[in-house]
Amino acid sequence: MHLIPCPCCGPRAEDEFHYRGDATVKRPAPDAGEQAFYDFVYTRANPRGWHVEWWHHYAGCRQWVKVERNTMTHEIRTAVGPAEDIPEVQV
Amino acid sequence: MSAPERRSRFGGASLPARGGAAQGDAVTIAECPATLIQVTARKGRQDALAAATLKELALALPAPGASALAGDCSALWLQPGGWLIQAPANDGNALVRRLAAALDGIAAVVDQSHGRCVLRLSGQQARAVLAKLCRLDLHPRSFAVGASATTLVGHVACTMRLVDETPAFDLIVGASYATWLLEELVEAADAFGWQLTRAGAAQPA
Repeated sequence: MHLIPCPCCGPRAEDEFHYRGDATVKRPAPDAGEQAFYDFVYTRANPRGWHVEWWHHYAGCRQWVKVERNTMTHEIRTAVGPAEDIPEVQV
Repeated sequence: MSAPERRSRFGGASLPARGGAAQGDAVTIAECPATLIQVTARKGRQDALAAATLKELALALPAPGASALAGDCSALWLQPGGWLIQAPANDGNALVRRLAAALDGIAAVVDQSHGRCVLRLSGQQARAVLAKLCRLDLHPRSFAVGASATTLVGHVACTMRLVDETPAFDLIVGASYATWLLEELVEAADAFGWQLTRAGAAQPA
């Protein structure tokens, strides 16, 4: 069980959240071509270590939260609002 | 046009008036009919919303995790820019009309009185009962009188507030989940003894 430090609500249990995927992917420019969009939609890294993810606090403040989680240890060290950036991930 | 009559949400549960190990009143679960209005600030209008609510209801909109009380009206923080106004049930839809007029262009005003149900859980063992159903730390140190939170209670998203030191908790839940939540509360309270108070007989806020 993760305890996710929601920037609005404080530490909350993981079951109040839905996992919403990789928060590092950026939408390509409209004219970037088919391969760029294929990668945007389907291609994901599978990092061992620190990773920035979207979690949706559906049973709380209903905000999307950017969470920095270690995929190996499950440690969570940062959680910020959707408009904020988490500094460059250091593995 | 008058508002349709509000029906008790306890109707679906076939439960006796009291039960549990002690057959006593260690915990009381009451349905508290209320007017519930959700206000959500339009983009960039949060300060205007706070000022208008203060002027209209003398209610200072609370910070995250808190609630505010002014007369028989209270406000609970729901989400950034969003609050729930709780008022007595007996004014039809006068309050929602008044707020909609006062907050025109400032906030979205949605009457949730029919969509939500307020269950008040009170008594010495109320914290012990809730602790079985939700993961929040309910110790007075971290959840004091006036604190509010939206969290999962019995697997259902629920906005709750600690009303007084009894302790008494208001649990605001989607109306169609009220019977489920009531049955979960009764099961959790079985070890202590519980009694139910139906709509209309609820104590004032």
